Amino acid sequence: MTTHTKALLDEAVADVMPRVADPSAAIVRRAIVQRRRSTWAVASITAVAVFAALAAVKVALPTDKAPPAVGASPSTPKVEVSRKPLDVKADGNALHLNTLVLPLTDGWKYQRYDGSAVDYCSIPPQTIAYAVHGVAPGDCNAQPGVEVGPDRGLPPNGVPVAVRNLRGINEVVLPGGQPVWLSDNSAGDFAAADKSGFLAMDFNAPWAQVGVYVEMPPALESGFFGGVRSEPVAPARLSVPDGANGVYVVIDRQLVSSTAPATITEVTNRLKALDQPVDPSQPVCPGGRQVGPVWQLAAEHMAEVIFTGPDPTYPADRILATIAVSTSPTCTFATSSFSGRVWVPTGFATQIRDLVTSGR
Amino acid sequence: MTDDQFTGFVRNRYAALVRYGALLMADPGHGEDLAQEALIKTYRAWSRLFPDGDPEAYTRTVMARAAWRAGRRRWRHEVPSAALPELSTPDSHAERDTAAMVFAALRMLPRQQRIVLVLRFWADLSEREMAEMLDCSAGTVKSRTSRAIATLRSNGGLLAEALDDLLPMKS
Repeated sequence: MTTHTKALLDEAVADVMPRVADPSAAIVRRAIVQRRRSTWAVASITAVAVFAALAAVKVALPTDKAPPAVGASPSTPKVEVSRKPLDVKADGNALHLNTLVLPLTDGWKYQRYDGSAVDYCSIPPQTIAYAVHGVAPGDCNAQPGVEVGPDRGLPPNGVPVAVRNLRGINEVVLPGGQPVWLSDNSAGDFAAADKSGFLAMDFNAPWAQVGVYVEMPPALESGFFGGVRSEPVAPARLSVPDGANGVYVVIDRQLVSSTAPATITEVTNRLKALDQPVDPSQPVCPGGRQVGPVWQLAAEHMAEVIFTGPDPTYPADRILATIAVSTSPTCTFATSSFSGRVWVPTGFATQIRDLVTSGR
Repeated sequence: MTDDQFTGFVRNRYAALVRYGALLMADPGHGEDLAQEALIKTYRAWSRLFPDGDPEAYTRTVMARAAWRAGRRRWRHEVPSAALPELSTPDSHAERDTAAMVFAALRMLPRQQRIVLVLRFWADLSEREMAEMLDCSAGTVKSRTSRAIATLRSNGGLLAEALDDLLPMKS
């Protein structure tokens, strides 16, 4: 009888109990991971297209010349805002992405994909993947992996100011001295991973023009993030672009801007005049919030001073450079997206905002 | 979409979905993995499923199709973990003879035969309903079901005995 068969099957599963009483939070989390992966793939493909166009422009980054030591008040580096191709080199236990270095240890490997968008599911676990044409989301579970590509999400990458969030920048200073910039979401992803059991976050290294998307269980975080560093930099004043036609200041979730040449010049000069470089070999504003097992924020919700200018490849302006300015009452510094970090007076970000507001 | 609605659905129906998955996969652990994977898709489709849709039917369909197709794709649905899982140990099912025998019998069936057997005799679906759910022809369903019954009978055991008085299949 079919009823007898059904009764046997019912009996077989009568005592089957889920291992997890309420998996809803983890399921939501994993769904978000998949969605973010999809978003990342689209963004990467877009970034590649933009990057390809910009690569035709003459490339010249801040000076290669080593800046003077701290206390010598080095001159302001000249900035010719441009993009350079993503140069990826695997070197023993490290992967060099321009001047950002990721670890290739503890079972991690590097793979470049030159063909059409690579299916996420076909990338072996614990691979740092550089997919020239992006990574398609695939239909499989998340796995430990890292995707790298041209930077995205934070300036300078041509993201229209109007659509960006106004929560400011969170900065981690890497061994080597350069920063990574995190959104609030990414900084919070570490804590979320401790609950969900899986990390999905991204960070940007604008000075290397690199974006990195990371997925892994929390147990692998120490090994990976502990090996992320920059090639060593000497103390340097802020790199500030010339030729900007607009300046925007984001502070306390408010945006003010000016296109008045005199105001732009004044803001530029104020930033260039900052002559107390931070020693990159020393901790910057220690005691900040821990994000994940390794990283500690040097500053949270930094104000942004964003310079825009003409884009030679497109009939619209784009972001030339961003200067992140901490607003802490006790430890204030500023970092340029192209290089350089200096101490600034308390209240400096507010002064720049007021300058822009009055000059509109 | 509100996560609260989805969370409420999961809390109410999760255990039943895990039992359904356990039969489809012939293994409670893999059944739970299957349920979770399907619920991720349900979450992503929630705006279409609530309040005017049937999220449970959608989830069950996703589970059945995923199980049906699992053999054609590399199975990559394990949750990543840095730690090795514990070795298999006797669980409550092994302690219960009937449950252990039934799961053993299901595991001996080829995957697609097992799935049509579960859908036919446990979920009580017709050939047409199974074909729609699995996105295959009714002929495929019929052939897999016939082979499943033949396999069970050749293997013997409780399920085979229960099938001895099998009624004609609904169509």
